Amino acid sequence: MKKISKYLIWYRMLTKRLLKKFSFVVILLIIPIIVLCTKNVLVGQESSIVKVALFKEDNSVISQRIIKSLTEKDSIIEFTEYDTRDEAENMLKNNSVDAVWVFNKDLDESVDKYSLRKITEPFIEVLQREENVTLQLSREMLYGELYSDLSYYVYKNYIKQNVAIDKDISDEVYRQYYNGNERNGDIVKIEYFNLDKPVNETNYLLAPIRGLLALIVVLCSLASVMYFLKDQQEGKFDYLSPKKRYIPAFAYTLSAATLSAFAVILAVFLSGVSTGVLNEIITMVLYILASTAFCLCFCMVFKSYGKLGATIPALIILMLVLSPVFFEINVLVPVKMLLPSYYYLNAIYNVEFIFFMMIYAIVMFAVSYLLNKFIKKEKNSLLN
Amino acid sequence: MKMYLKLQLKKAFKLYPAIILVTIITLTSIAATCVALLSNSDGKNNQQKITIGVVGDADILYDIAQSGLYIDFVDMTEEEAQYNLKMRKINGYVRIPPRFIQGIYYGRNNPAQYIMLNSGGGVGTLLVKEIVGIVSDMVVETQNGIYSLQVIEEDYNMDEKVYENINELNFSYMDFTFTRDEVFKIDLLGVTDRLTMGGYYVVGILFFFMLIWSISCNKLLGGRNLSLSRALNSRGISVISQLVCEYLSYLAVTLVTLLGIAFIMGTVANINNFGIYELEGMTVMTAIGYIIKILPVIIMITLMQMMFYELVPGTVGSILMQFILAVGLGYVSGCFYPNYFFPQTMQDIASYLPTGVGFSYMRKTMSETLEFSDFLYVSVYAVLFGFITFIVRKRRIVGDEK
Repeated sequence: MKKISKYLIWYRMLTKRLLKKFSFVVILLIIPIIVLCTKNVLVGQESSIVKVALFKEDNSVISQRIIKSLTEKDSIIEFTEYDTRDEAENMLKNNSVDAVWVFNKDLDESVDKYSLRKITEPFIEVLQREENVTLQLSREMLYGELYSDLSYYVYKNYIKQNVAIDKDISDEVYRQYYNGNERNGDIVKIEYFNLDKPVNETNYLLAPIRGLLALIVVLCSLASVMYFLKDQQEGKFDYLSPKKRYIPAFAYTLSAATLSAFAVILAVFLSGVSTGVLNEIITMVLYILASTAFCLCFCMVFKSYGKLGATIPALIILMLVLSPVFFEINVLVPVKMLLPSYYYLNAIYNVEFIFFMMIYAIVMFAVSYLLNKFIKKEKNSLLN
Repeated sequence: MKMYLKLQLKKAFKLYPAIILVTIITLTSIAATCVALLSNSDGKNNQQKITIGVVGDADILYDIAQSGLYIDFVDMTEEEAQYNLKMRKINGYVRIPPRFIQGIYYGRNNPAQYIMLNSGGGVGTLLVKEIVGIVSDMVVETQNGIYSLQVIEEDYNMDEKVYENINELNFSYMDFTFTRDEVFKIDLLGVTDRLTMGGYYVVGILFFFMLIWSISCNKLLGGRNLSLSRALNSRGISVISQLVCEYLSYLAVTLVTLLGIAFIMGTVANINNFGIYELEGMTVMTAIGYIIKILPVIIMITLMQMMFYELVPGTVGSILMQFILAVGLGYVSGCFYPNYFFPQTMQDIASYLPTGVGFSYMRKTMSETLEFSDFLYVSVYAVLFGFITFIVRKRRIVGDEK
């Protein structure tokens, strides 16, 4: 009990000390404001990961229908029709679009002949600077659009050539039969895993904001450890034996983590990526503890705040790459499991990771405590 | 002044072994990322593949994958699929119900489920969702053709060989799906005066490294002892002289680090260019040449960082500020997502920011399309940051004395 009150006194004192630092408070307040401004600029405006310029050489029914369908589609690929081929190609040359799709003239006839395998020449020109996955997938979208016409011609020509050779059935009749089918519903339905957590359908540009904000808590904790080490170097804790310095180190780290977490959680709500008050609070409280424990380990290993500061960029890059901030990389799993941000970003959408984060925090606190016991006692740090 | 410069350089390079160590760790982590990305890619084109688990019998999906789609379908049990999804080893999984194909065949669609994590919003997830829609629409169109054939045969009394015909038409549809690339004439123009996506990210990572680099130098730039500065000022070393000495020592450390990175980059690119066009034929000398060419950006960015260290003096506050600057401005300026992913307003804002101007300068240097106006913008920002740093320091030293 006496020990806990000691921790609390240190915690209150250091929180007050941090809150008296005007610049620190201002920066914390700036975080939600920046996020809110970014959200306001991003949401409601057109954005896309691929831009495609469309041009049709004549007014074939199929090319008109495909262009209308693509340009009206709600997609992460942006389609724009251009009046001339030169205009579309210039957009590509200027880097304003990623690809140009040219629908050759007499497309209706070409698709008809192609369905009979009577032509082998391609009838849609694709101009790109380079090939990549998104452009390849965008062509799947184009083929999907073309397929509804191709499918009709394949069916009609098959019957004409193989079944109704001696029957005179008009194109209108073929079309009526084709369009008259009752749709049997989707072939594939999208479902979400782990529905005890809410589904998050945010703008893809806002998606990494939570990950970037999460790093702020770890960074503030690390900066606070540096602050502690600097005070220690200046002799502010000389009256305490190295073993007993664990309490102020813990309080320094926890106070910075908590204060930054307030700013981060506010920013999360303002950005619109939140997943509910209770979920956010529970995961954030655990994340504060996990970050504190993680940074305390660094505190026990380093003695010079300059050297600890030098490691921060490497840690930031590691967390950006290995935690699911922008993308998923399924390598270096043991390293991933050492980073608190990995648990937090997964725990938001996966209840099991809340449990993992709890275990992680306990293990890291135990490690930091043992490091303090065995390293500081000898008045030597691993990295001096 | 000479003595002060010497002392500053000594201080800077005393810390340097630690910084070198960290830089190597950072570079290793970036290299590990590249290797990780490439290990999950198509060997021929160095392009990342999407991995989807399949629960149930789904030969048709393997056929689709073999027909050139950048998707890997991996057979697994429901438990394995759930575990891999939780661990984010797969993008999602398809649960194929029993008699799925027969259902499609007889028009009684018993839909398959595509199960994904509820953390939607990422680019990969959105792409997969679009593909699921396309595949679903294509199967429905095929069904339209097959049923229409069946009904028309019955209505016109031509149904002697109905099942044979359905099979034949089905094969015909499958054939068109597998040979779908035949309809496209793909013309790759090459990148000539522009950057490829790989080249863009090489410059982006280097630029982001430059932005967060200032945190490494916190001991050098932050926590300045103002009493010493005042004492030096009273001994004839003016505020501007002090700033120049401190700045030169920071610039020297930065340059040595960046040249070290160039050396590693040139050496690695010589062995393996990771399929990145811009790294083809890159040597240590050309990499060092690139660093020298972007010197105006290095000067501008380091002056900006020094200015913010001057504006925010505390340890915690200054590190937080440098991080917010690096991540916030780096994000908006296109270090993480290419700038054309953003709405036009955001692109316009980014193009006026110092980071936007600097990143554009570095990209144009790489693609050799640099113009004098780019140099001018960077220089104006550099002078502005230098001036503000001087004003703030002067106010803090001379202002406090008054």
